[in-house]
Amino acid sequence: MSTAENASTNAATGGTASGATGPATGDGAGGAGTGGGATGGADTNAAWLHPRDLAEALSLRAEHGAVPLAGATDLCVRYRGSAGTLPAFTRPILFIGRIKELCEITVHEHELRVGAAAVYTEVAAHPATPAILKRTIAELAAPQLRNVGTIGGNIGNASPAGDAVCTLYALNAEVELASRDGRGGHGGHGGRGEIVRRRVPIEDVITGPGQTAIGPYELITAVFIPLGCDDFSFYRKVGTRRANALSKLAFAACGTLEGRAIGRLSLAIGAVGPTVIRSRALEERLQGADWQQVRTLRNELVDGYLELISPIDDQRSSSSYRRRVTKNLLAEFFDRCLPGYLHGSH
Amino acid sequence: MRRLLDVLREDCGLTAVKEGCGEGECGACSIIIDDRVVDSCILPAGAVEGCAVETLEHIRETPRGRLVVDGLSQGGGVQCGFCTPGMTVAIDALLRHNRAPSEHEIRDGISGNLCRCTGYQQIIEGVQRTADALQELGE
Repeated sequence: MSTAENASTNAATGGTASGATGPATGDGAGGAGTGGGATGGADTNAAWLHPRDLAEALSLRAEHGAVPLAGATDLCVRYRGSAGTLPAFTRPILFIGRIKELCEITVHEHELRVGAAAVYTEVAAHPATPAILKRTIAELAAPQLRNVGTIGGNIGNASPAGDAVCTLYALNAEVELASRDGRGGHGGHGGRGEIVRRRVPIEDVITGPGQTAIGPYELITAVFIPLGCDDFSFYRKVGTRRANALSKLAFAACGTLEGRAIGRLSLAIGAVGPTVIRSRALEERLQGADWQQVRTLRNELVDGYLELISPIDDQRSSSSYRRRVTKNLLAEFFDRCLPGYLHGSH
Repeated sequence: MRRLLDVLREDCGLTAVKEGCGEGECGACSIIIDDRVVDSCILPAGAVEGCAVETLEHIRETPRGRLVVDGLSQGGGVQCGFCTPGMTVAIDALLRHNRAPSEHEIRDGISGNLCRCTGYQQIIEGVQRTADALQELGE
């Protein structure tokens, strides 16, 4: 079934504000085969595109420059109008929340593949999901938002305060991006040919606040999370209201143990810089460290992280508060959490 | 694309669905989609094509829904009443998936619903009362 609706940006309450439903129009439809297709009804710039599968979604993404939407929890707030009015989307919306491939969560050898449109509730419920990600989701938003919000959306939104994103940095997650090559139509990029996929480390996908390296013809299709990398983990979210409030700061660390020493460790701090902060150099200082070496290194490491962060003043918190809390959380992690694991007392 | 909230209220006449904040913070517009509670104020109507949509008008007529309403009203969990429809829906959704929630789980279950009157304690006690009643019913 195709749904093609024009959202009138200023329609008031009542009546039928929108509603062209019917056969697809435009030359882009039907790229995925069975006809019908989905494309914007008319040429308003806020069409609702409802592809049936990934191939069609990628074609529509390329042809219409459409903005992907799954749970809508960010976009509907960002574009909301006053009470009773429609979200004033400025570009066609590509609804990908029901595409089967994008909703699946599967285990492939040593990694978990989470479809970009899998909702938080499903991710948290999956038996293979790492404990630190389950905890992150448990502290994220409220049931109403966890039931529709997606990890793909948290990545695409690229907020420095994205809670799931911070934990995905700590987990060394990779993002799968897909597009269709130019064969069979448009030439160059964004055609109707084969689906082409590439995998990119999450820190290379998110390039700044709201900025990503996702191409205009690409969609996030999945996140790959290595399994077995979290013998220990530590997660703290600092926010106002426990539910729903965006984080003032998020702190996620996890790693492996080799006996009573650290194998590999990764540490990510969110909302204290333009993107999540991670330092391979500082992490490597801890490789192989036992609890005594952690104690020796901790001042150097705390200072190292405090130099890397550049928190801002905004409506949620102040720069000085974020700096102070970062220092406190680093202390809690290095002085209490890590020694506990290295003593074997956890 | 219209919001599901507006379609439910204006086209379907289902006015138990309230608009509070309009941005997914307060839960007054809570409804159940495929057995899960969501905020209808930030959900485009097209996103629920093919889904089962339940509002309070239906839920309050079910055995469990009636017990949720009783639990809230008997324990003083209803004061001004504006949050009550959404709160009732969120509690019903919680009890669908968890028949004997702990206090922590109840608090999480209603964490997306703001109430400015009760201070929540009476609501939490109401949920506990409902859970007990459900056990007795064998529901």
